[in-house]
Amino acid sequence: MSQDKGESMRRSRHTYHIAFGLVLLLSFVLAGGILAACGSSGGSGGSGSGSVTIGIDASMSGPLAGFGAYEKWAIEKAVSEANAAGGIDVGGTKMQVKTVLLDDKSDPNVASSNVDTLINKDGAIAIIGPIVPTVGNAAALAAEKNQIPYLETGNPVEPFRAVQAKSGGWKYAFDFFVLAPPVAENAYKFPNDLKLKTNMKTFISVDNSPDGPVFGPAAKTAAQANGWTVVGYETHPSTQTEFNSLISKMKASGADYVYVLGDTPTFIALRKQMDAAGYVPKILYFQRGAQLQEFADAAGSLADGVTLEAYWLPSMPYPGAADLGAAYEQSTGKKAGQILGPEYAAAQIMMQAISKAGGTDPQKVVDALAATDGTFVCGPIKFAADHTAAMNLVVAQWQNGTSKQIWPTGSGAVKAIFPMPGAK
Amino acid sequence: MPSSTELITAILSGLGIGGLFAVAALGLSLVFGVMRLINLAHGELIVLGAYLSYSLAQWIGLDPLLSILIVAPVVALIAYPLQRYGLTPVMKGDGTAPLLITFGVSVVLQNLFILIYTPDVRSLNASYAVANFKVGGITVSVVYIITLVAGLVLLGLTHLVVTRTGFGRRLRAASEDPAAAAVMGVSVPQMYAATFAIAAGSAAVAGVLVGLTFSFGPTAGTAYLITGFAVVVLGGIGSIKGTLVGGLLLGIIESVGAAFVGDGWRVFIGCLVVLLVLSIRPQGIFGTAGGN
Repeated sequence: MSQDKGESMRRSRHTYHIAFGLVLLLSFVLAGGILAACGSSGGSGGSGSGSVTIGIDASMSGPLAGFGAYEKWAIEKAVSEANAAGGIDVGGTKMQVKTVLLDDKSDPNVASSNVDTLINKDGAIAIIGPIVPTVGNAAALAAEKNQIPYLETGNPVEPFRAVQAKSGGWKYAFDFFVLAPPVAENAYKFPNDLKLKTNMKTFISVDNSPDGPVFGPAAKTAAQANGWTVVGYETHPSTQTEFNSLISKMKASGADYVYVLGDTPTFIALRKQMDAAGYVPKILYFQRGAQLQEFADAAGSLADGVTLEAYWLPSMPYPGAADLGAAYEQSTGKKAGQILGPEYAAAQIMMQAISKAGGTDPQKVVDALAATDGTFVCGPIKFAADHTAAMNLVVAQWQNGTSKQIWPTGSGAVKAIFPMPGAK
Repeated sequence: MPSSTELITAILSGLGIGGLFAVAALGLSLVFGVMRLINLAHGELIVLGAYLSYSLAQWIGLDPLLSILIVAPVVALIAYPLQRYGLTPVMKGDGTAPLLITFGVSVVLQNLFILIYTPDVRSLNASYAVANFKVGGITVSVVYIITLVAGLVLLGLTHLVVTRTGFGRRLRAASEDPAAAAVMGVSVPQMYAATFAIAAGSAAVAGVLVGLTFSFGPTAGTAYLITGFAVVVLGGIGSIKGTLVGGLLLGIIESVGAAFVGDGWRVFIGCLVVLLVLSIRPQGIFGTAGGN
């Protein structure tokens, strides 16, 4: 009996401990969820009378969070401007635009699930997708499956095309951004045009994101076409932060020009470790992850001299570009990032398409998107039959915490820092 | 095949990385060794240390290494009541409840980091973090000397405290037989809380080193939690000596492996070797067959 009583008491205590633990866990998770929810914007969703809902998937946390912040600001700015002007004309009726934003945490699975939620729960009649192919392609596929118009930027054209290449192409999703060959061509043309003296040897390292198999070969081809000798070609995981082996190889190769494709955390770690290893090439080109201001802020003076592709700068001669950059800086106290212009344009393009469609019928909005042909804050955008459009490009360089155009020379361009500070 | 210079550089950098791994894993080892608790918030405590050091650098321009003197005690002070009043009451079960609570703490901390610091990636900058010197034809990175020395000193000190002091005796008693220790006048809840605080303080030190060597963001802690587990398991659960050796070994194996087959295989090689060692010696290098 006493054993049974003891056993019963032990079970009760055990149950109490589990219950207490679960209550504490739920409290913490609830607190975490509330805090996380504070970081995402929301709308009442649905397309009720007088409004249309555009869903936004953005990477607000994780390694791509720097992009997501710009995306959110730019889209919300374009939408608020449209709403302040009375809304968009849809079939003769002025309608306010509501946005619902979900954080994909830089995870393609979450991006896909978010798009489903935005469409089926929040009533979004169109989606603006996240940046970079890892999450962008997943989100686009989800929209395609739901047969809802989808627009993204920040996803290079080739990886976007490749996803549906064997399925007859995209029906509902659109993308405008850069094409790999021009990016790579510019990367290896500018040193020759600017007459920068090097040994014409280059080392290329790309990450294993969907961009890697596209930009790696493009860089190799462009390098050789412009007279460079490719003395090293490597791939690295996109999450890698320890680069001693790679830096040793770069050093051993004797390359004056190092081209790397990766994300912001990668570049910050790589740049620091290059200095720590006593190796700085004369030209250092960081593609994709060096666009963000957070790279320059985190790397400090180590960012000086790093070159990168530039598809949008406030100094570009496009309508509203300078004003947009100034508005961002005034609003946030931070420097304008490149993706601001395209994301602002993406919101405008989507709203214009809904307006032209005269309603929320998905196919009509898709047809209106396909007919887009205009000059926006990021330059001319006209979609080809495969639902893609390529943007104009220049080469920029980080100088004292600001990204400045160095090529082509001329209006808006500054003198390049050469060689990289610390290069021998 | 890497050249001899590349190989030696890989070993030296591997020792440095290994020192950082050991510091990152020390707290996990202590908490599991004493309390049989897996602290799923350990990675976030590392990142918390990095963020606090970052804040001190921004506010008063304090050097990151010097900031350890403030950051480590602050994080320890935050951890003490969490363990004493949040975890101790639920320690007497099968371990599920405390595990869930530490997971919850991890979620809250990640979101707090995002709210306070934004999702932007950060870095701790100092001239010595990117300095180097030459020994013969080999370039030695100063930051790896720092992380190696930090690992040796911190783990050495912890080992001495645990094996040679009265506090250490009480700690070992509470770990080996809590009931008997309580009868002998040892306050087991206090010992647990003190252990957790020390573990959190060492995590904060690891955070500063991570910030100097790499970069960090709100979700960076998970990777260090996983690496910490690998080090603890490789070295032997609950063995501080094992944690040091495990960390150094893992660092060297990954670096040398990367020198041969590329940085892309670094983590894979590290995991493979850990599995290999465990298949031969399941208790880890310095673990005892019945556990510590």
